[in-house]
Amino acid sequence: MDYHVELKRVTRVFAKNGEQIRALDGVDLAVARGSWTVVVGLSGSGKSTMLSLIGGLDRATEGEVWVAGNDLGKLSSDALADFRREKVGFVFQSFNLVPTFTALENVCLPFVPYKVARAQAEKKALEVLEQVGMLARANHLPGELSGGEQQRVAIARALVNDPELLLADEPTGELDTRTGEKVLELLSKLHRERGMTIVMTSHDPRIAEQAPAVVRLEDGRVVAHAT
Amino acid sequence: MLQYALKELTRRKSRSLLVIFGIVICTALLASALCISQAMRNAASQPFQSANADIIIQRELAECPFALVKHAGKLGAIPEESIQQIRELPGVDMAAGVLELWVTSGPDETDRAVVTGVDPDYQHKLGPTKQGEDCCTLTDHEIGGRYLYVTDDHTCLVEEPYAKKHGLKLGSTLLLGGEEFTVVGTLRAAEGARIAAGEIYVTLRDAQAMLGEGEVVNAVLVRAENQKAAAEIEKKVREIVKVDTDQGERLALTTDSNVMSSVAGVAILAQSANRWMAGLVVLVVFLLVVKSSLSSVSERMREIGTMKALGWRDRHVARLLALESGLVGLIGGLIGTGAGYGAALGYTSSTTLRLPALLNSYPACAKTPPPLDMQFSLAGCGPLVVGAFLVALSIGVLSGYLAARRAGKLPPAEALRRV
Ligand SMILES: Nc1ncnc2c1ncn2[C@@H]1O[C@H](COP(=O)(O)OP(=O)(O)OP(=O)(O)O)[C@@H](O)[C@H]1O
Ligand SMILES: [Mg+2]
Repeated sequence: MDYHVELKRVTRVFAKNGEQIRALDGVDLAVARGSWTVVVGLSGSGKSTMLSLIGGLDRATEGEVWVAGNDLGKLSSDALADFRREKVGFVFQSFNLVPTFTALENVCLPFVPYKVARAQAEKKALEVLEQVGMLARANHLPGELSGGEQQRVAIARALVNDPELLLADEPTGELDTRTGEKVLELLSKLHRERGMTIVMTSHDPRIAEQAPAVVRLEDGRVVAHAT
Repeated sequence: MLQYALKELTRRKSRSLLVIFGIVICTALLASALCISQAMRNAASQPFQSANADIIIQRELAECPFALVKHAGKLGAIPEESIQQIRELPGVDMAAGVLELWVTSGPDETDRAVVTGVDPDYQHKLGPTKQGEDCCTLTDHEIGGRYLYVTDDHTCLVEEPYAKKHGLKLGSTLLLGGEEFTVVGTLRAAEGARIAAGEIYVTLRDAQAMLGEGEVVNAVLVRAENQKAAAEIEKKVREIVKVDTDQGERLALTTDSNVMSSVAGVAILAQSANRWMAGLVVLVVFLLVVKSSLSSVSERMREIGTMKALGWRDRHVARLLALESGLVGLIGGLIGTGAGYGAALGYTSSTTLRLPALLNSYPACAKTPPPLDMQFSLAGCGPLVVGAFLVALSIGVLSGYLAARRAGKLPPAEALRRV
């Protein structure tokens, strides 16, 4: 079967003050194209580390990370940047919006270093803002938006390059339960409409219950993989 | 990208302003220090250029004797044969003596005039009557006005203000030390200080006859072949021209590099202090800007991580940070050089420096204005201002480069973990 994401015996070791921390320890994982996977586990179990490796933000100490046919370990840092720009969308727990930029400008951020005509970039950005229901707030600064609204803008930013893989690290972590549910609803709508692969992490057991596929991490090892 | 950089700078307004302010201060100091010392050098070299000389050799007496016809000011006699010896020194292009006198004038001998005896062989090319834009031209040349001839007897050139004051024309006569002289030409002089300039010029022979001390001069102007030769000549001259130090006499060798110290000692001191200060401030500001740029990187770790997660390459992030610092340097540099140039302009136009008394000593009762003011000019200051601007810009660019390097190298996952 053609997996979208495949981890083969992946180990990530951090050296800290002479001590070695095995954040991931020989992890095998296969994620089908167009699936929705939730990674759960206690704090420090290696969830964020796994997501970083899949998104090419970090490199495995051992093992191979394959995404959409690319062996990420073999890509240069520029090639990894291009890979992220073309294939991956990131959503973070704390939104990571630039506070001086309006919602629209934040969504345009991925285009800034490239020669994309402003009008074209803005057209694309408005399109995705509409999809996340934030068109009306396009010209607001993050400070003028609620947490849930900020996360919607961040999701729009992650979608502006039409990624086939969306990685979300605790996207509801800083939101109250109801707002969090709304954001999840939005993600699931986008998942249906766009057919993209989603890998997200969560602390919340209820999210895990509803998820079509769950990966449970414990001390850097996969202890359960349910579909 | 530029818009992003500008927004980032306005976001951290107080810090950006502080850094810009620092750069403004240091460039302004640097630009003004450089320009003012350039202006001083210009002012110092102007009288020498006007006379076409590099070294002026004079004997300064301790006392200032009184007589109807006397050496100007405190000048003492130098025997004419010394000039020939000086001409034979290696590196001497030419040398000429002048005899600057204070002489009674007018029918009742109640006025005093400054009369300079010049060597007719050198009057065009060296000394107070040098022909040229930066010194003297004959105003009555078309109607027969001329310089002095070696064969002249009791003839004189008069400076235009003196001629106007006394109604003198070509062919007019005037009394100097009781003897009658005929005007053969009127000189118009360029503005600025002139060494050994008088109101009236006669041949060296006539001046020596008036003074009655034999074949003497009281200033020797030397044109050296080059700067290095000038330094050598200065040493040798001390053996040729003897002074009686026991009597409090002094051999005065004036060049454009030492003329300032006798008239503007304090200013020169302030200048070098200023330059040191500018250097120090540049260093401090550089460190400040580097510190600020680097801490901007650590404060923005998360933002940098986000950018990289969104597909920015390392060099794009680096470019953004370099651009920010570069902009700070550019803005600070522009304002700073502007302010520095303005300060230099203000200083030079509000300060006047007079030629040292030895080089041109009009009596206190002189009625036509003595050419004493050394001309400040900011000529040649342009490249210095550009240099100061480049210093400011490189402070910005260099600190930007350091910050950019750090941000570029940052592993994205690591950056995103920072709070
Ligand atoms: N850059 C790093 N340097 C040192 N140790 C690190 C680094 N990144 C992660 N770790 C360690 O690796 C382990 C896994 O971290 P990770 O962030 O993946 O956990 P997590 O499951 O995402 O936790 P949380 O639920 O709190 O976000 C932790 O013990 C963490 O301290
Ligand atoms: Mg985490």
